[in-house]
Amino acid sequence: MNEPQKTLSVRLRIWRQPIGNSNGQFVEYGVNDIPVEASFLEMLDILNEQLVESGEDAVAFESDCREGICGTCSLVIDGLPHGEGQCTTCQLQMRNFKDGATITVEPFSTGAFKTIKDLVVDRSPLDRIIESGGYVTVHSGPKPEPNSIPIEEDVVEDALDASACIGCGACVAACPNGSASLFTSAKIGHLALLPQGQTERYGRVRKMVEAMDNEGFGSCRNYAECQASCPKNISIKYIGRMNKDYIHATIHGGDNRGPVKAT
Amino acid sequence: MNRLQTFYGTSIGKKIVVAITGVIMYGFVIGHMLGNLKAFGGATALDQYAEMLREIGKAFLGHGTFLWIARIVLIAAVIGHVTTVILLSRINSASQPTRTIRRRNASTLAAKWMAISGTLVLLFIIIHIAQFTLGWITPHASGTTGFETGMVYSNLWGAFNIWYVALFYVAMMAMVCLHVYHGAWSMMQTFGLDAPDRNALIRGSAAAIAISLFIGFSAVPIAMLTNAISKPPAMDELQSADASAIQIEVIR
Repeated sequence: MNEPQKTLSVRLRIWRQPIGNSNGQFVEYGVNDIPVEASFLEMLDILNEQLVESGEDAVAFESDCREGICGTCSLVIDGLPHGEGQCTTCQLQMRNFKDGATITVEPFSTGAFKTIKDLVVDRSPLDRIIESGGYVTVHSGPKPEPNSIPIEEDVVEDALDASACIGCGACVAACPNGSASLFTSAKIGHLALLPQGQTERYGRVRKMVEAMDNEGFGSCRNYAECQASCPKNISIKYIGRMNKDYIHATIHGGDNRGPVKAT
Repeated sequence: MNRLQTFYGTSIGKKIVVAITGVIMYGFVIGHMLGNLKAFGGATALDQYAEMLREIGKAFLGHGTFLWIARIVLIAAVIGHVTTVILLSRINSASQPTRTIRRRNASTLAAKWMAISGTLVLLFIIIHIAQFTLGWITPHASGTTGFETGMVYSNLWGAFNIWYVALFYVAMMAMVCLHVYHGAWSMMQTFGLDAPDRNALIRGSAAAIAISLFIGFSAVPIAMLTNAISKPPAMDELQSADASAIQIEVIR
């Protein structure tokens, strides 16, 4: 009886870029005896063990939870952010590849995401967009009664759909313009839908949109490639809502707090 | 003023300027297509329609003033649209991926071709105005009357009886069709009027209008090339421009 194949071999074309250098190149590596149960990142761990044993510099790549919820892993595999499936890189399994396949691995590099080393890019522009307005005002008194703010079920679900964004940056990497519109609109949309986010709603959209532009991201041209690459299925409907709130903010001015005047 | 500067300084502000100028041109293009269909009513119907355009608001504004207001608004819209798009695409080329990207085929052909179709349409607008408004480039088939201001039907007939002129117009209308399809539904997104429950309607309407524009605009050159509609009256039978103006007065 023939045993099913337990291992596979692949050839990797990996983008190697030394730290502090703005230029890099593709280097080919062969990896053999990969267990079919291995994930893509585990396959890269096997490669790195080989490289370290032979005294070479290990390939730098980012990963953390390896269960698809943290948004740290960020590889462009065969030209697609996070690879063929609409999942995070860590959820990509080696059993999805053919034995003997050649796989190209690149970083999420765009105009705004500069490559730090090999497959690691600087995604702190996304953090700075959040810092600019991704917060809500809460009172500092005693802990409020849970469920004291009633919210409609469908509104909660809509807000939670937006909050599912893990900030991996696949939308930016997939966009032909390198736009962060899907990310920014998901963060804005999440807070704009909930009562707790209303106070700063219109000030927030202006701050976050301006921060997004200042970080050097491109503009949205409605390609919808971001939505197709998002591991969390964030809809481009949030981009339309962001635009709507931005128009409102421009016409009516900043946030809802406004100046208090005694009469 | 400061608020407007900040607004135009952001990518969304620029997109909204592109959308507003786009709406102006979209409205014009739909009106232009419907007006062109007057050609199927014969030479007099089309020439009278063209003269009527100069008469809009005559009682209040005087002859041709409204037409000039419309022209200035449209030229401003074209300039605003093109310059803003150039500014946006400069930002976009600086921020685009620094590696070869593969697409997941989420984007339509119309979306990918926006820059190509837009550039071609801009060139077409210039050629079209030089040909039929200013009369600078006037190719006309042998045996037809040459370009004469006010003789709209006869001018079209002379030009569209050359197969490559007709083909050029039909090809450019395909570009207009592609451009306004992606433009119209993107505009809805830019204004934030899209929502998943009405996106099918928005995209469907954008496609229907784009296809109607293509068919409506292409009908006249094809009909004239294939002699499917009547020839313009011969030159000696034509009344002078003054006489046709009098005729309009009489009809009224």
